[in-house]
Amino acid sequence: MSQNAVSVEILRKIRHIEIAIRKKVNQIFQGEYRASFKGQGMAFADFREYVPGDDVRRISWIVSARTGKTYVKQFEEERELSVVVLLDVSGSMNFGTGFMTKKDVAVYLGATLAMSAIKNRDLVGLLLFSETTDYWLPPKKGRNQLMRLIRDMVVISGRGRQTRLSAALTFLNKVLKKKSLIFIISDLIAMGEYQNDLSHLTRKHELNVFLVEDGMERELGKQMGWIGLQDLETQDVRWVQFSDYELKKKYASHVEHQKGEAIKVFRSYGVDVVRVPVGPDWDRVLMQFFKKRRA
Amino acid sequence: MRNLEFAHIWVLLGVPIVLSLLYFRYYLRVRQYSSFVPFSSFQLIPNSQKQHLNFLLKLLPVGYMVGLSLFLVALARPQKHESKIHKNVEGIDIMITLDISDSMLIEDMKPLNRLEAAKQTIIDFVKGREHDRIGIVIFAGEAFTLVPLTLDYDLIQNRVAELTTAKDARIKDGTALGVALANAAARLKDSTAKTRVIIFLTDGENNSGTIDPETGLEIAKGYGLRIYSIGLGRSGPTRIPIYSKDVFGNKVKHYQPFVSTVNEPLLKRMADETGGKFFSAYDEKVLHQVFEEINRLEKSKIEVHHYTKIDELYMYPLRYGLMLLFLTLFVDFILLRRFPVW
Repeated sequence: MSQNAVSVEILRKIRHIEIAIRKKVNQIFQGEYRASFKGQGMAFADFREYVPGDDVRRISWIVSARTGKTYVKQFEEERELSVVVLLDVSGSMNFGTGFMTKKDVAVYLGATLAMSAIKNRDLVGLLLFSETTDYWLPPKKGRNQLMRLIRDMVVISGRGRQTRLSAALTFLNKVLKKKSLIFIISDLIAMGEYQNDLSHLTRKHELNVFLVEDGMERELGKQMGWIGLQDLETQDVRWVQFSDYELKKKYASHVEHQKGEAIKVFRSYGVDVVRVPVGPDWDRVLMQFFKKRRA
Repeated sequence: MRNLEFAHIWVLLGVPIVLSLLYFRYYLRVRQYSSFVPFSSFQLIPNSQKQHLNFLLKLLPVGYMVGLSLFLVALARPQKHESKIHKNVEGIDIMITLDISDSMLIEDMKPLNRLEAAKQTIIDFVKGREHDRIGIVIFAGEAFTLVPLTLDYDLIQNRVAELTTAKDARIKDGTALGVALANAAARLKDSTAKTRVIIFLTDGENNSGTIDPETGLEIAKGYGLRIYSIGLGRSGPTRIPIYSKDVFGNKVKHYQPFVSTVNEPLLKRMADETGGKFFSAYDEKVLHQVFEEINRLEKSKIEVHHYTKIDELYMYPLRYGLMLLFLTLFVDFILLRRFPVW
């Protein structure tokens, strides 16, 4: 994906996203985030000779006794979290029956999380995936990283591509050395097989899943007769009778069953799944998510 | 169908054009799904979808193609050329008047006697005619119509074949030439045929009946009937077989001497005065020749018209094309109302 060819329109969109989420982040999410994802506090790093002015409480008496010199324990602030936004850009994410697509909501979610993390001086990385890992932005600090991350989320699209979560999870397993906080933002539709990689990843990292879903992915819409649909992932076409009452009933349970299965898999590895409906209410769901974590 | 032609066959050139247009419209467009409604994934849709729509949708272009092609076929004006030979047949009416008096049993003709020979000859004669109405009058001491004028030759042949003499038929014996002639004439008088013929077979002289032969002849002349008279057998002494039952009930045959006389002058006059011809048939061969000659003389007039009948057949393709097109439109826009219209 060309990184130079960013049109004015996209810049405007990025700016818009930034402004839209900044207020929310400044007012709410920054604090919520900090409270929800506390680091491990202080982690031991090294010993150092005592110099006047050091906190006497940090003198390691054991080492001092052994060496005859006075040593202090040196700590590293582990508060500095590494956050990775794992964003699904497969074809199905471009679906939306309202004013927003799932991708839009996913970008808002990802940007909000990223900005909250950046404001907290955490490292934020981005991995876009569809059939493969489409784009990898290693975790870094700073506002530039944030803007770049937002831009990449907006620009890079896996339109017409299928989803293979396992590829992304394998990749993260290889790349992330430090314990990281991973936010998976996806619609969890047609993900393929990913249980093995998920179990590997959850051993070391903390995962959270945001399941973005459109209203039509809960139930079929109004009676509309025959509609020709095109699968955004496989590009297949099919005629579906929306006025078929039987189909409607089946559809609702079928969809719920599929998502339920996926959620069950994640829960079995201790991963929390938050369902985010597409629409302007996405921030409320995020809010609830933070609150639930703190509790 | 044979003889099928198109008045404007060049219109049929439109068929491939229409077909290819529809082909482009439907089959080549299938690869562009841009107008289809995007949907996240078909994995969400349960697989219980009825498949008939896909089938019908594939059938729709075929419906349009065939329907419009049928229109073009109708426009090309299919015609059935039927070259017809119309025979205008003017059949003649023939009354065969047969003597069945006992003297017909005289065995001077083959196969058995005069009667059998006459029957056989009549049957052959009837077989050789077409388009003519033929009737049979039989007579002895009285006369009656065996078969009125008819084209049903099978009936005539059957009835003639089962003829017997007057005695067996329980008709008064004798020879009533005048009555027979009058009877035959009566049968022919209302006929509208141009040529009306009486074939008169006898082997005797008038000796009974209420009508004089002369009167009969006048009647025939009055109606303009032509008479072919045939005198059967040789005149002179001969013997006549008599069938009777003996004391045991068996049928026995014995002969009586008999003088056979044919009133040749009368028969000859009958023929001459009506424009016919008299024949003396002394045996079965001559009788046969006589009938062959009559057959030749009385040819029915046949006019032959050749003309070609042209049946316009456009309504059939038009009708079915219209039906098919309306059906297709109905299915397309009402039964399978859909989006995008495809």
